[in-house]
Amino acid sequence: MIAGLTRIHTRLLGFEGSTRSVGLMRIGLALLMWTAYGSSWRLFQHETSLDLVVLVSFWCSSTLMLLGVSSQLSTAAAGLTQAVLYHYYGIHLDIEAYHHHHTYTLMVGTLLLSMTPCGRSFSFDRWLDLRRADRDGRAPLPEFGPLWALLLIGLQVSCIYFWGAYNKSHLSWFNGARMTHFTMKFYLGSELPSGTWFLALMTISGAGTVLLEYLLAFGLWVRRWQIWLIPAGLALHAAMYVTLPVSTFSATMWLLYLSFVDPELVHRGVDRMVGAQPRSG
Amino acid sequence: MTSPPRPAARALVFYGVAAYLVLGPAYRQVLGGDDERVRNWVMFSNRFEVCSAQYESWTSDGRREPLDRYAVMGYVAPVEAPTSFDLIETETEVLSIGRALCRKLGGAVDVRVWARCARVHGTGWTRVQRAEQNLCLPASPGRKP
Repeated sequence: MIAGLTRIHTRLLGFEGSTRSVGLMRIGLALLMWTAYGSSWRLFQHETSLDLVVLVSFWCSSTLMLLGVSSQLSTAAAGLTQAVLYHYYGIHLDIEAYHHHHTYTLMVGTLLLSMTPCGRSFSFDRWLDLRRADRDGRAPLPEFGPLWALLLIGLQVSCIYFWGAYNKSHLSWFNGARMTHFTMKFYLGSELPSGTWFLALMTISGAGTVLLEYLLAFGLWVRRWQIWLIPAGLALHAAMYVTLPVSTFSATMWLLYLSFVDPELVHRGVDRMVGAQPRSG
Repeated sequence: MTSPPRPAARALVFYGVAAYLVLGPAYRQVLGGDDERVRNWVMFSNRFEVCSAQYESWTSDGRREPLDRYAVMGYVAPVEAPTSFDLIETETEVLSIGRALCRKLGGAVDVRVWARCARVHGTGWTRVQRAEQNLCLPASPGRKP
């Protein structure tokens, strides 16, 4: 028992791999930050000195994060800036746009990413290291490092599904009523189609959503199920994005799915795409 | 793929964050806590103000005919109707549209409505009208508006 737990502990905290997944995530999350907040935080849009500090911090940290300059530090700064946006502007000042589930997901994703070596790949840091390595006649730093925080990002995704499904675990989701409400609100108005096909469609989509969320919460960790569950999850978020006002949530979840994919697989995939020789060892 | 775990600080952060991610939402979703600083995952749980309504024309011999409210009001297609007519949000609106249909039809008509409005829990619906009142009669003080 103790030996088993120690082995799991060692595997979790010692989890390492290619840093290309986290490099891609860094770029994607920085762009999503711009999408989520950029239009509200332009240079002329400040009223207080705190606004100005947050504004400067937002643009500087997210830009450096995107480019990969002092990547971990700039990612941490971007995450902390979002924490101020979420907790101070969102919760304390009660500005609803800042304390949505999509802004929280973006904030947590960024903060957890800052605990990974997210600048080892696809970054200015990497480019600088390659240049210095050339000059000094040494090998560049490997695109490899500790990825235990990537597991936490995956855990966050799982928890979103589990608690989201838990919240939907009541009759109105399984009998199609909730899906009917959404369809009426955004599409049909108060005039519902009379055929049983409509009730069947609403029931299947409502119950299917809840069951799929429970399945994704646990199943995404099972490697041999990923080939089915990752496309199913991506399709779920695509459907939400196209049909409902979910802002950056779908795109953020898509990006965070990288935390479930074997980092070596991502590394080899990038190699294949750019026609590079696979690395030895 | 793995290497020995580093210092205790890493373990502390890892298990602390993991516990918060897993158990944090339970504070609000299971225990009913209301501190908004702790995130809950209750997407798509807000109650929409939506009602579905089927209007009927009743005759004195007891026959009931469904009423196409768009046609009665002269809208050739639903897109021509204003949003407030297309999407009925409350029981008050259900009754108000019923009375508008009465006025448009004119004469001694008997218009009634079956209507239900959305709620989040239970079956997802609250039945608000069961075709029990003729909406074309003037509202009496004792009746619902």
